Amino acid sequence: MTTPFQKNFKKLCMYLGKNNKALYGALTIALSKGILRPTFTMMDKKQDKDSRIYTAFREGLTGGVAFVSYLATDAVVEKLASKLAKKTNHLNELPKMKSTLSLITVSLTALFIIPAICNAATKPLLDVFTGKNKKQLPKAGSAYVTPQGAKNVNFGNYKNINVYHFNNFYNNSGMKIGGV
Amino acid sequence: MLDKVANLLLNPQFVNFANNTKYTVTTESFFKATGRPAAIMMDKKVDLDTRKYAATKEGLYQTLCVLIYLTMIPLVFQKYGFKFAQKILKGDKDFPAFKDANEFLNYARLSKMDKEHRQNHKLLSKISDSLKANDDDKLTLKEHLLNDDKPPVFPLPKGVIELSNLVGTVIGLAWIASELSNHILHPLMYALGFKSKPAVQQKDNAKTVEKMGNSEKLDMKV
Repeated sequence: MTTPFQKNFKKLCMYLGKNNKALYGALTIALSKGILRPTFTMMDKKQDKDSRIYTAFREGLTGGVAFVSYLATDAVVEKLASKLAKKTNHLNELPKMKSTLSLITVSLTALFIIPAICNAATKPLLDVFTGKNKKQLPKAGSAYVTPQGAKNVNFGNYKNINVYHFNNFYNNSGMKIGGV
Repeated sequence: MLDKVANLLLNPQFVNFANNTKYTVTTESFFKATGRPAAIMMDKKVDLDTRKYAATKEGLYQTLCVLIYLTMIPLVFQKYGFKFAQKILKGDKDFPAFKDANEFLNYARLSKMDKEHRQNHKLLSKISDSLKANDDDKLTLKEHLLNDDKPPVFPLPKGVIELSNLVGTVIGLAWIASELSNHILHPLMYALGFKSKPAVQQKDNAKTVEKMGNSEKLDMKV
């Protein structure tokens, strides 16, 4: 061992070899995919921007949800397998039980839970981030114009009287327009 | 009821399947490649074109991921990562002179087995007869595997494999698969009929404009 690079390389590999937690792999995958996948999607200029934004946002969200689900699944499998092994007197075969149960839960999570969470959350969250859900409310007491161009105003007890007819025949100066 | 569940979970074939990384990764990727695009297509809050684009992209990406994971990571990243580490850590007492990554992986797999199971295993023939943990050790690693209940473990080469896998995952799955999917995606969408080709689109637009022109002419005549 001569150079600092060699020393640090050995230190890092020793650490990974002794503390081989699946969490590191999951975290690395989630983080790298969560950053790189949306970046590459946004670089795909052959697709319209709205589709790219939705896809990129969904990919990032999927990465985050998958990571949290992975942690949750891992904890659930640990507890469930231990309880099941105790009750059925298979404590010696606990690691085997964990591996099969883990495969089932991870597959079910990938097939149902993560897509369902993403379906429920992607569009609402995307709207919040892009500011599309801000409703443009009219100011209280003011007159506003409907899409048809009809003007709704309050006349005392007569609320929301459609004054389209009056506007058609009288302009703001009070002059009559048209022949009726 | 619980016994039936336990028996199912401890079924030897199922246990072997769950302990094989290739099988588990392929299974999970298959569910990702089918479940995620199906869910995207069910998300009615977005328009159909966006759903088709996102679903095709997801399915393609997961397929590429499993192909890269099964081929590129063991054949490129593990192999060359191990060779690189052999050069960097040459002569290190914690890094025995394994021939390559495969020999170390075979040794690691055998060392985890029960002594009886290990002694007749076919992988034993893939461990070289003269390989020693270090020069001071009187026994070879093969003899350790045959005689010891707990043969020596080597965290340093194991860490090298872990690091190679992590680097391979980032470069192969997050970078190369994303880049590749961008190149394949649009031709695939044309082939699946999810998108019409630009030339076809232009023709369609021209036809529409022509029709509109004709209807305007008719209006004028009327």
